[in-house]
Amino acid sequence: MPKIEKKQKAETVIPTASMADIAFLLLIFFMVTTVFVVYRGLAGIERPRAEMTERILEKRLVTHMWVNREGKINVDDVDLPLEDVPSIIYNKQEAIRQTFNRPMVVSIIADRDAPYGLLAEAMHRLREVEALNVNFATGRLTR
Amino acid sequence: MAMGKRQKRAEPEIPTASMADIAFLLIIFFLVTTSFNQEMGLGLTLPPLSDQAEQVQVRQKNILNIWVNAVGEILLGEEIVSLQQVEPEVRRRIQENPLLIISLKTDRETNYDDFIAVLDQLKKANVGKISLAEPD
Repeated sequence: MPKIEKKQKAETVIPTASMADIAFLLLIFFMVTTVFVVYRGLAGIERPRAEMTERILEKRLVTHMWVNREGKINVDDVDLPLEDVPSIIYNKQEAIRQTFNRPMVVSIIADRDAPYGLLAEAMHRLREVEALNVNFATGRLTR
Repeated sequence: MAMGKRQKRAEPEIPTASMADIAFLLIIFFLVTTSFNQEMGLGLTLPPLSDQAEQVQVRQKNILNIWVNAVGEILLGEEIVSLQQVEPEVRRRIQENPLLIISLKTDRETNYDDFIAVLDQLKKANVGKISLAEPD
């Protein structure tokens, strides 16, 4: 019987050199496409603390309203007088309603020493334009 | 000079197989360490303005008034209480009358902090119906 030369098997190799490129591409893709909307708000606001603090689950529905201890009001990074609150809140509410078909949440971020009268006034303005979901921003109090 | 056998040069190679591991490690590191700032707070639904909604008559006995004055003193019904007494007292009254609505009236000059402290107590007492009365 003649000897049959065995064919040498080609070694199977998975090329891993480009895996790094793939991973970095993914990393860069997500870094570029991620958009964070971060409002700066008013400086020096010290939030009150509360035990029943909960997380706001739907961040995209939130409009922020800052009130500092001098009574300055800022809505989503725009300083404005109290009289202008209803119109800007109304516009934002309409935009959110059209996009998500859900009511807007106004997060009131007020200083612990802010006068309540101003906040009551602001909440009255919110009710005028039917922005009824409010959230009083607080820090968590641990006992 | 004797000609030595030329040594076969080893081809220089940079090992790239572990680059993927390094990249994934970096990804995982940033995934784990990135913390998004959570928004926290006390939620409340305001009532619509009275001319838009139908007026509902509520019996006086179903309303519990809580006043907070400018210096942060709390008047619950007819008695002055401390902040710590608010929760058990409100709990007790709701157990007596499940229809009870809490009306929280805060003075204009009150610090926001005092208002939040009382609201926190009411939330702790599991009050479903909280009404914020507008200050005079």
